[in-house]
Amino acid sequence: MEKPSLFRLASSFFKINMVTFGGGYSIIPVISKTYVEKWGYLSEEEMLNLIALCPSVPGAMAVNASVLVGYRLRGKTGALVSFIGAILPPLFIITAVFYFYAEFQSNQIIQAVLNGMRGAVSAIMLYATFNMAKGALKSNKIFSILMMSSIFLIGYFSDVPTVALILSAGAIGFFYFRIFKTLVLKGGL
Amino acid sequence: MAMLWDLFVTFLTIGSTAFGGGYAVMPLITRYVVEERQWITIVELADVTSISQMTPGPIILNSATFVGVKMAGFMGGVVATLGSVLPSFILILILGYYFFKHSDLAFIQAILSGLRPAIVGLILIASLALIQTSLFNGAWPGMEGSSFNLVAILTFIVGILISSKTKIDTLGIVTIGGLIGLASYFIL
Repeated sequence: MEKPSLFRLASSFFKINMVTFGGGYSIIPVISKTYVEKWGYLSEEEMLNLIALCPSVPGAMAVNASVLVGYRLRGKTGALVSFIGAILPPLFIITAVFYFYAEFQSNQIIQAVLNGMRGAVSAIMLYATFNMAKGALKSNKIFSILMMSSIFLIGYFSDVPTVALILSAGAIGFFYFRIFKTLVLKGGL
Repeated sequence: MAMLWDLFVTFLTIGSTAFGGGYAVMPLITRYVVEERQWITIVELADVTSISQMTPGPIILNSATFVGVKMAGFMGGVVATLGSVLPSFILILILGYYFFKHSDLAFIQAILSGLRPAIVGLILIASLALIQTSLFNGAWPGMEGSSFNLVAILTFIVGILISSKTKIDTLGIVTIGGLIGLASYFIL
């Protein structure tokens, strides 16, 4: 598999973290769009595996995901340059905002530009999310569709914490694929 | 110097305990930064939160930078940011190391097969939340407080069209969105 240069890792994560509004999972489709669709460094499945690890550690999802992709593609040095690329944009932007705070909040032109950017980022996210869904639903179709829609419905309409949803999904995967399908159905028990 | 160290340690503590990401970190910042250290007021924290909604970047990094710069200038912002992300950086490397080494184990594959579709479901929730905020003023049409942000709806439609018809990348699409926003200021 072809590997990205360290410069490409750092600069791409700088750009991605520079434009991604929303926090939490919102950065994932944008990373996936760049690394899976555009460059093909990772498969859709590998990408989702990496993302699945992120909630296990504290801290910002955007940084964790950037570091993990860098680590997967270029080892520890890759992790480090992706880390630096990911944390610089908020550092620069908020420092600037701090000094021009009053100006920033009242400046109609800045607000108009940000407004247009947010609409565009929403589009990128939604479009990339559908592509990720296509990738995730390729294998174990019925199981995956049921899992995805029930997590979506529960997460969207109830206050069940995300951590609980993730833990249950992992546990269900373990019991269904490892215990039920492999051992029970194939008579391994 | 003492202030830089204090900033670093405080945000290191917050960064080690902020599971869940996003707004989950707010109570921790309130406790350590607003109540114990009194570096910023609760009103300033609310401002940081609203800035975070307007600008890119995770809320934990945005607030670390804001508090750090306020207390000790740009270097303060740097050490507070580093403190807030160092724990997750180290933990994710350790986790990644063991994962890449053992990812072919059958039980890990089984867990991941359950997690992958679940993660997509969670990402879809995040996408819809951003659309709700950016396009409809935080509430879906028909709900109380909803309004149509026509410029954002336009850049959303343009963004979907560009994504599906061309190979223009993320930065290009966002730039086009920003330019449409800029044009709207002069036209409307």
